Amino acid sequence: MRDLVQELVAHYADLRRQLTRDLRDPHYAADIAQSSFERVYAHALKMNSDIRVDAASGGTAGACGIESPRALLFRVARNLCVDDARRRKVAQDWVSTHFSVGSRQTVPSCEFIASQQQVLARVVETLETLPPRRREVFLLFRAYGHTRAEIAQQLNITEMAVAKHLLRAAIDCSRVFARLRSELIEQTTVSNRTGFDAKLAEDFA
Amino acid sequence: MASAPDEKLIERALALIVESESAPHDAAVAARLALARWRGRSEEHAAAAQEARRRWDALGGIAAEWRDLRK
Repeated sequence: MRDLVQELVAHYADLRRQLTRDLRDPHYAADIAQSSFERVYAHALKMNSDIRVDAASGGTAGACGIESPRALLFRVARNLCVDDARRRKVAQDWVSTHFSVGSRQTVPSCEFIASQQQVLARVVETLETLPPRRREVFLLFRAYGHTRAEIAQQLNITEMAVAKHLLRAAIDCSRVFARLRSELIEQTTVSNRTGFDAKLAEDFA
Repeated sequence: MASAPDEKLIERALALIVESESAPHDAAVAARLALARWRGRSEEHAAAAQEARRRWDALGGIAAEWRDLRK
């Protein structure tokens, strides 16, 4: 196990360099590298305990059962990058789906950009006002990709409590979307009233 | 802009989505099946499930942004 950790540490710097080059953001690269390291390490710990059981029953296996820790580390990092990119995109998609006023335009309208920022700001604001434990559970799951079991262990609570916090946080944040949606509809109704043409107003701006 | 599905339905769908994504393997599979059945009940259920999925996905993106903002 110690060999594996040393090997992971040795490749960690390479991974971080490559991620920094690919992502062009050293902080983000450091985050992904750290998460990858933690996941491979957790996986190795689990494999190690399985191997002990296997060895006790006469079986054989390689060190921690991981053939190439370097390859695994880089593969996990790549998967994390892909997942993260997908999550970022869907936040924009929510606004695109619900705010179609500028859909005929080829570039996003000021209203569209403002709506995206509004959604982000309001949800972040809600996250910040959640009870600390609820917020922590939600972010560990949604922003850092930990499992229910990992969060339960980390926070020393039951998995059932994690599940409850997670759902409560999701519902609290979901209600922000509902309020924003009503506001967006109201704004659209106002700007579409007879006698007021937002597009015309922009032309004269 | 299409009319919004009922919020209570959206929250019910959200509960099934959260369970299907966070529960241990067997429970997650059961939640996915339950969500599929629930979605099939009516067009309104289907629309609520779609909206809940959009919100859940959007929350993932926003949580990632929030994590980066905290640095």
